[in-house]
Amino acid sequence: MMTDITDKQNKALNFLDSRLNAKLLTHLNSCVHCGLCGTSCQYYITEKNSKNMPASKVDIVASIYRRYHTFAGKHFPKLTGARDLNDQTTEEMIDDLFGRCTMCGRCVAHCSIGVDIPFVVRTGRMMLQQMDLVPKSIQSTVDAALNTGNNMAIPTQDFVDTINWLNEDLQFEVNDDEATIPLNVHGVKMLYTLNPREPKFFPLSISAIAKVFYLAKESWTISTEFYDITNYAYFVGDEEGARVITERLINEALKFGADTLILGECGHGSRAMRWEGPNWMKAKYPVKTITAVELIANYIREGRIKPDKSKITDRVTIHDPCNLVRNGGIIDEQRYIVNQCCSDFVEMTPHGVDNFCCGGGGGQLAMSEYNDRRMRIGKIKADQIRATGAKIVVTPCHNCVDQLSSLNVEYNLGVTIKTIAEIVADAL
Amino acid sequence: MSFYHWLLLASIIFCFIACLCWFLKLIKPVKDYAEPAGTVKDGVLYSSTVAMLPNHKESAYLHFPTYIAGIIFHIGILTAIVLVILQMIFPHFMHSAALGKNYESEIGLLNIAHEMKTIGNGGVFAGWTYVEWLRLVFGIGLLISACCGLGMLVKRFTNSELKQLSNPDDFISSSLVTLFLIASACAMLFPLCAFSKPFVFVVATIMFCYMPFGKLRHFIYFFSARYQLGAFFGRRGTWSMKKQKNN
Repeated sequence: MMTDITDKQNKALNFLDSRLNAKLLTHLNSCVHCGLCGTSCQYYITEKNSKNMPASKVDIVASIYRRYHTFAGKHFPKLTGARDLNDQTTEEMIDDLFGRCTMCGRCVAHCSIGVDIPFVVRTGRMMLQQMDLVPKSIQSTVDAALNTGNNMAIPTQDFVDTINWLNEDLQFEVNDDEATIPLNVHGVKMLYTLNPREPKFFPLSISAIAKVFYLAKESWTISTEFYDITNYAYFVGDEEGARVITERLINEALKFGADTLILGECGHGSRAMRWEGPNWMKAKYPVKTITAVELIANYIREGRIKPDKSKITDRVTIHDPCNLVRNGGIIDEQRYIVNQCCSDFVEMTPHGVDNFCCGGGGGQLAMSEYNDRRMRIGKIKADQIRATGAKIVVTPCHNCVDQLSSLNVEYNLGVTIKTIAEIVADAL
Repeated sequence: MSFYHWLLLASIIFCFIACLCWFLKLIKPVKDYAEPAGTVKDGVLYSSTVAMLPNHKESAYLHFPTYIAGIIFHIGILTAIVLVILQMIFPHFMHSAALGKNYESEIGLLNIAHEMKTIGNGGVFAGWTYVEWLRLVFGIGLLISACCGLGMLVKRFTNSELKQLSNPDDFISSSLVTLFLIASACAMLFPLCAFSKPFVFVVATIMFCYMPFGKLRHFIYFFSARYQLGAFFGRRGTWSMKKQKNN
């Protein structure tokens, strides 16, 4: 006998029903509970608990699916571990899907079957979003982005003031009093987007990319209204919110006559814009998109900028952001750039498609309630960094920069964390 | 044909139709508006070949004994299913003179065996044809496969984390298939035993009837999962043979 469900739970079940396409059906029915995925997940590696197994995170969603969509689940729920959607299961879902997964997708490639675990986790998060059960901390980030245009709710004037201050830095760097960071310029070729953490905490990364664009003689601008590349609505499973955020940037590019939208150094933001956004908008974009990493690599290949690798002699390693690399296919470009800019580059083990998440992915950075777990699982990354002997860690993602900076302090790594634009600017 | 032949036939038809219903839901393409960076074809090819190699999957190389047991278990299941279907279609499948049975056979394999010289020179193998040797090989193979299934079942019972992850269906499905392998092995090794054939047929009937309801239906979803995964990583340019070569 199924338990009574509330209107919100019913909404979540209807939502699940509406999403049951070939892909979701496949991944909800594929897991055989072999448990071999555990050793690919940093939560499980850090704490050997069955709740931390990727299979367990899939099962909380799949068990609800079985309860309402399969014969055995409807009539013999205990047989297949099918579960009602009720207060207990939703509570478990919040902890398992928000608190124990960075949606990095490392487990996917190593799964014996090939279950797309983060895809199922995101579906579960979407169900929670339908029930208004998204953790308040991360929801406030989404609300800020939707209400103010950027997830840190930076007032426009503050942003403009920061950029004006950075102009001085740029002019000093390139020794040109006319050099500026162009704001709201119409008729440019490219619109640049950035992570609000940059104007708030890492403003020099903006002057670094501005230096690169200046030397590459790029035609570009930043919008003072909508410049935020991040899309936390994607993490909380709010597709309508994610669509609004995506559409704003596309419209902004069109407004300034730009034919290309540059996706700033943000892993999940790049993924959301590049790969998920067109599906939220149910249309191909009217403008091109390119990640800052690809663009900078092109500049070097075309000779538009000429980094001098003798300027950076410290050992450098790369941290691969999961959403840009494994889930975005940008694997070689950052290596090409770093090899052009640094004389001593070493890889972490493992790296590339097989990398470990820094621990801040999946919205973990925005959920203070899981800070302890985030720092614990980050030890794997800290150990990886230490093993390279590197002095500089380069990563094309500001969320990763933030988490790596925390790990740097927590685990006394003694490294400097830089974005791609920063390391390139240093080598110019 | 005896009643258990008919039972098995009915269960196979039932299983086929039920699984077909599941399968038909999986072949509707999912529209993706994002501009691809690679191809689905490349990704699926990679997903079903290189990505499956034991040196590419932690689930294989970090758990090698379990991985090997799983491979042997699944090869055994496939073999046992083929054998039981052949035994159902051809009632005298793999009977031979050496077993004191009607030597007439319906398939070419046995006709060939009939013509062959015996390969045993004495002892218990005297007079054995290829049929007997094949039975022995299949029987031992299936028994090894059953042992692998049994081993994984024991692991599921004894490993506390795995046990917590499992539901009754996991235990029932694994037990049922392991029993089917044991029954199939018995049918191969003890063909003169009056119960060996009805036994494997009845167990197979139960297994085919249960298949569409529990986790055994993952045999459909496995292929779909590899396709979906290949399509996902292929479109994004993450997985392809070319990338593999470069890395």
